[in-house]
Amino acid sequence: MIAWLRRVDPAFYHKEPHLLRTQAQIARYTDEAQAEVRLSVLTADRVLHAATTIVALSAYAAATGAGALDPRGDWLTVWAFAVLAVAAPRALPWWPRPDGRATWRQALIGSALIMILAVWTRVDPAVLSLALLVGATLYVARGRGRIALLVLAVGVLFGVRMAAHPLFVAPLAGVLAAGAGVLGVRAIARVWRLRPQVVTWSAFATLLVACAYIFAFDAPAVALRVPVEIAAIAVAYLGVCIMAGRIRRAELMARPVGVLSIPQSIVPLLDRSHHHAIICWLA
Amino acid sequence: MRRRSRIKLTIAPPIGIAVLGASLVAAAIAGAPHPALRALVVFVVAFPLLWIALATTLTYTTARALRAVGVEVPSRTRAMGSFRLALTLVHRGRAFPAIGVLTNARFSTAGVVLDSGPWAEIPILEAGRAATSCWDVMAKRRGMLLVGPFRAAVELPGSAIRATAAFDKTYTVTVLPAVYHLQPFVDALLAGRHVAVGRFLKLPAATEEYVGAREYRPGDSPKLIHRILSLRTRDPNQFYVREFQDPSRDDLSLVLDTAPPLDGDAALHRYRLEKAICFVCALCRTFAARRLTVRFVCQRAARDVVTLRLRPLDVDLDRLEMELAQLDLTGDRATLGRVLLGEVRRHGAAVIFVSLRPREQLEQQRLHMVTLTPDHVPVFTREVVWQ
Repeated sequence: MIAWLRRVDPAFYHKEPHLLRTQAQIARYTDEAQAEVRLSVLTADRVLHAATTIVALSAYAAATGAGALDPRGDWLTVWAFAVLAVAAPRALPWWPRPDGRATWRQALIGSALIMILAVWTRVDPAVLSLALLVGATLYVARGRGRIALLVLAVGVLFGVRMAAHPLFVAPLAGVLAAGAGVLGVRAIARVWRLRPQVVTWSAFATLLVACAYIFAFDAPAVALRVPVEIAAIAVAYLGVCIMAGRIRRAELMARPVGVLSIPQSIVPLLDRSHHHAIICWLA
Repeated sequence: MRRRSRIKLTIAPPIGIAVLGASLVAAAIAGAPHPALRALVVFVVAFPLLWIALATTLTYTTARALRAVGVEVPSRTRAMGSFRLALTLVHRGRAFPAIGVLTNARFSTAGVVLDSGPWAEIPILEAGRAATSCWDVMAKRRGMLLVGPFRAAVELPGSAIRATAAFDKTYTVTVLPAVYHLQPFVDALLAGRHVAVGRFLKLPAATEEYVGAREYRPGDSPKLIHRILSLRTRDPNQFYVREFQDPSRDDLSLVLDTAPPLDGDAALHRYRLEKAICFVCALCRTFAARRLTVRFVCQRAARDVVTLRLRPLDVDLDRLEMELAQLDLTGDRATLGRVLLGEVRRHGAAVIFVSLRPREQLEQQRLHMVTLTPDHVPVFTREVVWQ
């Protein structure tokens, strides 16, 4: 019988090693796979995007004292906050990929931020020019340019507050502040994939830093509008809470594909590799 | 039964704590010199702290309130077969529901540990209610599979800790050999080797036992006629004869090689053992289905030779599978040689030797038996059943 089989299929004994080299590819629900799926869930979450936008805009309103900052006198500070409020959410990893109209949209939002606040104060050519400047800056900044713009805005925020020797001390302070910001963001970005809830704490920290900034540099202007400030910050905090909830929801929903393929099923033999002695997937 | 859990706490990433702490300090210091901003500063600083404190407290108390009330796990399964695993948790708390509970189980078998298995989610578990997490588990390695401890992780948004309740009880699942379906021509192994299932003697020998009665056939000895049973029949020409069987005689001896290789690829040898075990199991089932009595012999450990007499009964075949599930490469060549010689010298039974060597040894060629090498196994194997 064996001789007969060998005659019929001479390559029979050579098939087995070849077939056994075919490895099964089975997802083991690794942390990395989980993080990838979680990110895709977050990217598709419109509520999260809306909450992020609300947090950014509320933070902008709070940081500018709800219009207390003069767009003519403090135009650099207002410009920096407007740029941060519009560009920072778009640099977050869960923000959807920009389409063709994204740059126009963010330029218009940036200009509108300045114009809306100017309605309460006064509309004059200087305010319009600042709105145009914000729009143009946001329109030009794309890809890596957006990151550079964020770094520049952080540097400007701290640089303009250095009264002593504006040509030397101010740029230095700006560079130091921007460098510290970049280091902090990189450190958080390194852990956020595995522990996404760190984003919640980072968002709280960002709002607190913005508040510390206005307490330190614009306290007299903010003191006139404390209830509005509290309201703006409360909205921003609630937005952070919503973001935290959505991120936790994504953690629960994220499910990598279980068994991808098991080619050994066509082989009438056991898996020789023993690489996957146990396979477990969600029912 | 409700089991208390052991709580393991995982603190939030240090970078998050550092950044938030520094920001809180900065906001407090920046706002302190301005009395007009006191309400604003208090609100700005207190809100995140209260939120984190509340989330942390709820996370810990929720994890403490979880109890494992039931685990659905089979006591045995088959290699290449999957089974449903279910863990039922009950929330013993009274005030708040458990939100976003992730459950996980640890699996371990010889040398393999699956600790990062999938986390099954329970979105919300009301106080006093129970919920069940389910997994499908496929064990590909024969032997003992340990399931547990189970874990349930709770981390509310904003919490400074992740509280994981560990339920320490471990469950044992015996993974039996995989099911091989053999080709129908496996009977050819017995051709010319077996001394027939029939009897040599017309009359029972002293060692034989009564096993039953059957209708008289021409050639049967009149001394074997079962008188009482024959008188009960209505037809006066119908007779029944008694049947006897020697309990010490088996129809077929099956010897499995468990001796490790003297040299060569150990992994390859282990693979061959897995294949041989599944094949032997299938062979025994096939011959048992043909009403043959099989004598299975293998060496389980040093000076420990197992002999199982397998009648065509499920209980015997289950005993064989349990024995095969624990088998390892623990034999030695000398004992194997003695076992083979003893089986061949036994009267009347055909001997099949399932070897792990690619070629038949010289001393085995002299013995009257069938030697199956690892290359022969695929010839007789039609498919492996994935359940």
